[in-house]
Amino acid sequence: MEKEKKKHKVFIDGAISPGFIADSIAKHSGKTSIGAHDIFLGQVRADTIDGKKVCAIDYTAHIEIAEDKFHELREDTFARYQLTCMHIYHSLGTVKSGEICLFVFVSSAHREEAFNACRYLVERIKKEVPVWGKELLEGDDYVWKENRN
Amino acid sequence: MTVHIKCFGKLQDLIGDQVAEGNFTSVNELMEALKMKDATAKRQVYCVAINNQIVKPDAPVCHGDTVCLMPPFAGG
Repeated sequence: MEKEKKKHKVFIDGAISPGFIADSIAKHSGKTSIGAHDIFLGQVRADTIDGKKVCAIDYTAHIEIAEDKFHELREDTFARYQLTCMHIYHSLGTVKSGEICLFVFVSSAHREEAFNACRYLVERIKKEVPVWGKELLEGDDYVWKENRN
Repeated sequence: MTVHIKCFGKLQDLIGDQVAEGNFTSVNELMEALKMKDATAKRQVYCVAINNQIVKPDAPVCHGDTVCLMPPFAGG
């Protein structure tokens, strides 16, 4: 029987710090078969909604289904592209505008695979993972985030 | 039959977590029976899960199930 692959921890409480991202990059310097990294960073944007600025997004998720889905996306992406490495991190809880809420990091020998895999993964995450965001506005009001496409 | 309804995203505001009691046998029948704060709420249900598995609208519902109602996803 094939050994079940371990699920990787994806959710992080609060914002994903620039230091964490830098450390992740640094950890790959020993993997000398890598020639290219592609990184997507989702940042909370201070949109103006009904005259009020978005101050933060409070992220929630159906965690069990989301973790299963992240695992599935990871496996699908490895099967589709020649990658050396892949990391996905998504925030839960409150992330202020200007802070990072999604970090997708793929590595490969050559850039074409990294470019294509990163985009593929980000698009599928936004479409298929049960995560929601409450956009917290100035003055204690809020609206529920809706993704484009 | 008793089932526990758990709502996510905007459905927390439109429907709300609740305990549903009745003779419904499928997700569709359960949706008809639910008390909703907003008449348009049912249309906002994009996806349903029973006990952490995403299911189709005609999936059977059993006593004691936790039924999760989810609006369109908005991560990232």
